[in-house]
Amino acid sequence: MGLLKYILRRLFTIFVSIIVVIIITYVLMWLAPGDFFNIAQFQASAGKIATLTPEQLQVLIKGFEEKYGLNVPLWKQIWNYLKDAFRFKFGPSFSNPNEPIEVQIARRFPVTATLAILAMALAVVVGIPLGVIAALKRNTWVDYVTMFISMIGSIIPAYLIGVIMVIIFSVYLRWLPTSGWETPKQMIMPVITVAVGPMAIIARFTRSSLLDVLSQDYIRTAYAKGGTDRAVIMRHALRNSLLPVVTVIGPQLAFLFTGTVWIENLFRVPGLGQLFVNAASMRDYPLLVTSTFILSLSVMLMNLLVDIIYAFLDPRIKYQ
Amino acid sequence: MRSKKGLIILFVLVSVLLLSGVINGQKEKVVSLPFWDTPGLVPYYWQAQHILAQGTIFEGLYGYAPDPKSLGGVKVVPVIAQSYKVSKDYKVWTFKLRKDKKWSNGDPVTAKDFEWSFKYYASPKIPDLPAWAGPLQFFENFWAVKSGAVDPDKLGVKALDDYTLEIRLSTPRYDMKEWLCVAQAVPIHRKTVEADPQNWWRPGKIVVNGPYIPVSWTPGKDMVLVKNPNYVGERGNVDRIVLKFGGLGIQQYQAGELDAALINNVAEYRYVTSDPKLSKEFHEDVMDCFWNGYQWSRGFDPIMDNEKLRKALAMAIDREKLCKDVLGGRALPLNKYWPDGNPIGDKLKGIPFDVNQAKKLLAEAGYPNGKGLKTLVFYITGGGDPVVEFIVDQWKKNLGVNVIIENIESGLYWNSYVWPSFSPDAKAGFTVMGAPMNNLEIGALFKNSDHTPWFFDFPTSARKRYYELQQEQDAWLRKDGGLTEADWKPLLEKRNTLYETYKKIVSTEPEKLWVAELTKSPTWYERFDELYEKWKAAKTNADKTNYWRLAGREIVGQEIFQNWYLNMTERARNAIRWRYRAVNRPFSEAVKIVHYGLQLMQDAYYMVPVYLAKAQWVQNPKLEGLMLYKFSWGPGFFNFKWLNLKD
Repeated sequence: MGLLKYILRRLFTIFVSIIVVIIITYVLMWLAPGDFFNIAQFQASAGKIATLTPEQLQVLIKGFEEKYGLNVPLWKQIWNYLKDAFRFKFGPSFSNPNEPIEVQIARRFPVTATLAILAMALAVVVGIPLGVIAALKRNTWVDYVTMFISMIGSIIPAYLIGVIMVIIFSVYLRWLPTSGWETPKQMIMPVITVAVGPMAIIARFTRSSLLDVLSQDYIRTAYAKGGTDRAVIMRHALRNSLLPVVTVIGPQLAFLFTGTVWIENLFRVPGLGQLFVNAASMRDYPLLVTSTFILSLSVMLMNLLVDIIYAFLDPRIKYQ
Repeated sequence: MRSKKGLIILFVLVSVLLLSGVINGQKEKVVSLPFWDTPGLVPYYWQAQHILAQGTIFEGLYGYAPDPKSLGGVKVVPVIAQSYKVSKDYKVWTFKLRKDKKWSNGDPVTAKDFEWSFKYYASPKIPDLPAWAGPLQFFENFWAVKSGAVDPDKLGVKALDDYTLEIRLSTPRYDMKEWLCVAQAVPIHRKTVEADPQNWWRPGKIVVNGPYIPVSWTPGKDMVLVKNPNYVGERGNVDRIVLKFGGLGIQQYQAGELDAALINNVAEYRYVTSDPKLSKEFHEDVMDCFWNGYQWSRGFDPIMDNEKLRKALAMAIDREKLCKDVLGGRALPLNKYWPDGNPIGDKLKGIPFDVNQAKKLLAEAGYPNGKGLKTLVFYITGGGDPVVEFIVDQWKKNLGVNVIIENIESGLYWNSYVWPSFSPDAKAGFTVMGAPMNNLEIGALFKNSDHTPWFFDFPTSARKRYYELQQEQDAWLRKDGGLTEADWKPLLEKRNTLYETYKKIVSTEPEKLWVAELTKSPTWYERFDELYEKWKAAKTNADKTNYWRLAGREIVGQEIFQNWYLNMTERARNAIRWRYRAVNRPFSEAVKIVHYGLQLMQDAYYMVPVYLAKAQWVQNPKLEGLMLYKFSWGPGFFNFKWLNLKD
């Protein structure tokens, strides 16, 4: 029962933290120079507002404020937002007055989640063995080559890797379509592109934490008891060395869940990233607050998940 | 009996379908094109400008047909309209509609559709209608309707019968036909909209009157349009259009996934023009509805009043070199608001590139070789701006003038530095200026250069006063008081002194069109007097305060006008006079005289053109009728009505 109680307590903390995050976001927007809560951005795109009389402009501003609920004091706006947000109602955004943000999110989230989970799975499936091989063959050419590759993977921007793949596999070889998100064939390149970064990180973490574990006393004991290489590593070393790796995977996955905008644009994957990326620069305040909400929520939930997985990996961890 | 009938109908239908397939005996013609990511298909929102009504899914009374020689590459043609009559004062427009036009579900398109749609857009049901983006703003009573003060039925639009539409305007408009081409001027299908006001526009539900029906839409990815079988009128032969958002255009084109792709940078341009196959499919055109350059910052540093300094800087930029070295041949040097080879541009005198003359002017301005001139600031946004770096470098090299580049966050930059009337925080210097036309209309022919007489071309002290008065006018909205006669005393005194000056202005201003606007009833003082009377009769304190506030705003409004009119340069006044002359004649006539005003605005050197971007793309050689979109969302492709795919 300890676990359930623990989860409930953590969920309550998450709830409170989100409220604080949203309040801070609002206050920051309110403090930011220029005007978030105003028709100014339409003025910017219009450049014609100058031809309207002040009275006409008042009518426009009033209508705009009414639609977006800006005609009440700030504390009330925050209250209204929170009230709706916890029921997953976010209202329309400036850049898309046609439909509520939750409709847009509902449509895009599955796509982003699929991409994130596939890419993470690939990163784990490739990254962990790479790390293990490098650790076991420490300081040999095998180690150097794998680590060099993983370093390259973390240095080169994923976007560039994507472009290079498109030019090779779509333009020259004509094996894969350049973009899209319906058939498995279309998913290959975006998934690899997203996976490269986390893959490199996972490989390095696995390597260093496995080396760490291999130098522990209990491993020596296991060998002394006559365990084979394979048995010792699989049963004793790997399980314990995965703890830090899980810590990395959680937040990484959370960020992937809110979309990887460059890659989505490149491969025309209709995910969340495209939706959220312009919110700040376009001063699309409903979208900005909502993307903050979604991102913080997913990071906090992921951390909770990581802590729960910890318990399964390491029986010594107790929930209090 | 009944089942037999059904069977016969079914048999006939099937044979017709089969026969048509046999007769045609051809594959479906599919065209894939790059497109802007679109938030939805509601035509009255500015965000839907590009899925434009004009020819693709909706159409209005007038629309665009391709015409390479005209402004924007389009000419205005009647679409649903057949003919029109306009009253002598250009306020009442009566349109006769074609009788053969249909909605995609088979309903006829009538004048009643237009009447209902326009009243719906104008009603408070759409509180956030971007009214500046369409013609409704000129309709009689529009603003009163939008604010909720007047019933939408009072809007100046009426179906006299099924195929006659009357539009009544609050002020004369000579370019109504041009305005009726934009997205906000198309009708929507009443029954579908009323059945589901939130979602009527979704593909699968939507009923349209244009040549293509949207059947699927994945935001951020693509939209599929199919031929509207009920469409009557000229059109190309394409059955299905797939619009794709995002991706690597040129690579998609090479992989055979797109029938056209825009070139986005110099690297792509060089690659395409050096490739033996792609170079044959390369096209380019000039984005002549734009100009790109810089404007002086909208702050209040008196150094800006130095005309010789402004002129010297404008003359010291080697625009040819900029286009060759920095923009890699993807732009044309531009030293006037419209380029050569264009009916307006051909009559404009450009700003010459003349370093010696610029040096001389700078010395005359009081800064020989840049000595004694404070460091100016060029505001930019985003990740560096090679064009600005080049300009700043030219000023340093050619004149010895120091300008530093300051990068600010984009929202702040556009909203507080580039587009507002004034930016009090801005230091002496510049921002980037790229001014487009949103659509064809006379006012837009000035491409925002009319900001020069509005906000720039008068002494800084008066500009500062202008800004303070604007603040004061806003403050009146929240002022407490107005309950006693004593509160009115200063207002009444001001009214009288302002009235004297106003009378002088009206009697001395030579441009009759301007005078007409200034004396149009109700004038500012008539409105003021009426508010005073209303105040006397008011019952509640809230009403009293409200009337007093409005009266205060009227007074400040007149102060703003007089401060502006009396302090502006004679050049700016002349520019405004030419603007009045231009907007008070039909579009084709306006095009002939608009250069007089443009020249005066350009010669103030506050808003300086530097280059003109080219649109470049590759296109399937079998594809015809692809229209370049040259207005403010451009470059891109639109108006797919004319697409034709050769076998």
